[in-house]
Amino acid sequence: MTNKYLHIVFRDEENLFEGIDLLRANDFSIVDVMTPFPVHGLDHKIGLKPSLIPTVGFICGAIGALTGFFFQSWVFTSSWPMNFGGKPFFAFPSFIPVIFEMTVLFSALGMVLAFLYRSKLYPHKECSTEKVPITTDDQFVIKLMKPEGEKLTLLQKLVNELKVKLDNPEIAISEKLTFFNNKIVALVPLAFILCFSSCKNNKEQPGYEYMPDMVYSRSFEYYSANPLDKSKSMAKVPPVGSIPRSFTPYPYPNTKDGYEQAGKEWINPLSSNDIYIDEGKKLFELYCVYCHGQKGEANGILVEKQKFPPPPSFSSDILKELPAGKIFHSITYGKNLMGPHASMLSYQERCKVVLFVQSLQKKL
Amino acid sequence: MGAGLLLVFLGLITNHEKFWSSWLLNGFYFTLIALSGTVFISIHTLANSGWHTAISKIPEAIIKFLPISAVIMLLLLLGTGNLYHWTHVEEGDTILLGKTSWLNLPFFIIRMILYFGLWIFFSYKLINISLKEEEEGGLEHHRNRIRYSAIFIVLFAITSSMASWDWIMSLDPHWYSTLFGWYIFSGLLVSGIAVITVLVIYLFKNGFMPWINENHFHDLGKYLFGFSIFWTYLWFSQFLLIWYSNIPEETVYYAPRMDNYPVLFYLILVLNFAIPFLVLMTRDAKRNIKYLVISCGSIIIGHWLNLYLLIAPSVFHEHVTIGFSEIGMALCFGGLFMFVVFRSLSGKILLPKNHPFLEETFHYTS
Ligand code: HEC
Repeated sequence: MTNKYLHIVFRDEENLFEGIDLLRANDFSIVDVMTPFPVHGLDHKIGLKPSLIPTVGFICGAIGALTGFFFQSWVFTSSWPMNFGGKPFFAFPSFIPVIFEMTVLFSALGMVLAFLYRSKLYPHKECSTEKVPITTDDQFVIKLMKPEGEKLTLLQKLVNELKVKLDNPEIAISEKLTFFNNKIVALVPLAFILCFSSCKNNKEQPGYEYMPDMVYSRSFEYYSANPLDKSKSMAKVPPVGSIPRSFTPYPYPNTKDGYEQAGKEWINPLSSNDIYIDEGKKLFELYCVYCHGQKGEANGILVEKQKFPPPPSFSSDILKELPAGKIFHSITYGKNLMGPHASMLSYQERCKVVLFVQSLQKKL
Repeated sequence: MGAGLLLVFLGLITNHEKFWSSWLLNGFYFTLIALSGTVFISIHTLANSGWHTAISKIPEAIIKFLPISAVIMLLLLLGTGNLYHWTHVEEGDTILLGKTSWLNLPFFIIRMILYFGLWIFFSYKLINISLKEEEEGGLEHHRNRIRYSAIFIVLFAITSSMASWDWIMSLDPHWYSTLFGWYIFSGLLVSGIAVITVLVIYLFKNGFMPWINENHFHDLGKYLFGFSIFWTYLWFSQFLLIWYSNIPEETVYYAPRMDNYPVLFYLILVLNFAIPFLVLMTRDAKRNIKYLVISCGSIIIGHWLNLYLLIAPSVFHEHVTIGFSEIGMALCFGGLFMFVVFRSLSGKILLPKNHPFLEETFHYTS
């Protein structure tokens, strides 16, 4: 392979540019220029056409943005409309961050794939371009087709002139470029020795620490041994019967018996009045209408779209006589397909919703 | 400028609040632009950049407007009663009463003088350094420039955001946003760079800066592109959080802006984001004078409108249209600005002789 080409080695990019100009002016065909870092203006100098990668990036980005936009619109308005914090279903501002991420993702992946495709790189493929290690270190190499006869002498002459002109004797022509930087090669075993010497048998001991700084805290960790009661953890279970601040305990367990008992015993601390019912209605519209429908007639949007089996209507015979305690119990713990709502609604709020549900029962 | 002056006086006679709000709008706008000159120079000095030396005389000329805008802003003190609600706090308004230790007139005036004092001091220091450098040469001046730029950048970061709280955010004294200072700063940077770009293009077209080439325009274009996205990012960060959490204390700020100024509200996004973003997207567009002019124009107008939208809805409770007063004042101050800038540019070679990075700018490819 190598004898088809010639290489000219330079020490810095200023000289490289002069060399390229000279070669192009004399009609030598440059195959490639290899540099340790991207050199501004180089592609233009060797007459490469502007890369198509930005266009690919734009198109993929646009596809990503559209995908992000339409997918979210579809999910949130038609496929599975759900209420998030009382926002409209088509909540465009909150789509934007996702659209942005999709744009970036698609355009980045698209550009990488386009690049791999263009450079014919894929797994198990031998790299077709020549590897010239020195160009990943500190030297610049022009690779050109090996000229014949007269032109070869011309090339030699030109390079010699260039050496004198730029006062840089390190410019050189070379046929084979297999040199490895020996100094660096010598470092490899050393690095291995260092790596292995830092391994230790004791897994608890991290070995030599470069800068422990503030890694070790003087306070106890949650799960460190407790010197007082000889147990394994510092964190303790709170005493039986303690409750968080401003929390109203609900004594009935999540069982069939608890359900029946709540139905008999539980009394709503709020007495029925229009204000509470109205507030209950607002909460119902935020959390429950998707299944139960505006009037509790099991015609919520999820039911109508057949995403969810219809719950019994509040006005039906089964639920008409349901006592407040059972309603509260079901809202708190959920029932069969209906999820628990205790984490979304506070005790007070659940009481208000119960009042509203009762008003639905009575109205019908 | 003359026509502007006439309109301004008409405005003063007819409506006090409108007069002072447009005084604030234009005074602040041109302060930002003038200040952006100093920021431009110090950023590039600190980043050891070479390319900007080809145009560094232009930001230096822009800075010359700073003393004048200081006078304009100090004159604003006559109108504080009309503009700033906190100057006459009502009994029982506990929130404002709690803020009086910061929002009171004497301290307000002291701060204003302090900001301008610092800005003018550092700006003129940088100008003088470059004048000296031109005369004497040597590296010592550049080292000095680095020193002053570093101090300035730190002080600027603090004072610029404090100034935007004081002058703009306190129009709505009950409301606050923690990224307001940054938001104003991002506007300062884009609109300043847009003005610099327009000036460079104008001078280049008229043959005063023959050493400028596509690469320099490319960099200015990258700035316009990048910072208009940055501005939008901050705009959106502030908007999304307030919109999503939907807390009345915070939404009071956006409600009048979206309800009373629906066109303007979205127009500024088009002018400040969509146009520069789409126009300057490709590499070739950033190197093309025509596209640069389009997006600069859009940005310069857009940020003026943006400031209008920050000020007017806070001062007036109902919708007011942009009238003679605002436009007249803009023409007037704009004329003054042009006059100052061109007077300081005229009759000079627009190249910082003896700048250590001067050579680099001629060989620059981007
Ligand atoms: C995901 C859909 C869904 C949501 C949201 C939902 N429910 Fe239900 N709900 C159901 C289903 C399904 C049933 C029937 C459960 C069963 O009996 O199998 C039901 C049953 C009920 C019952 C009768 C329980 C009983 O003891 O027989 C009440 C009362 C009730 N829901 C109230 C509410 C209230 C109040 C809310 C809002 C806080 C709510 N639901 C939210 C699906 C839902």
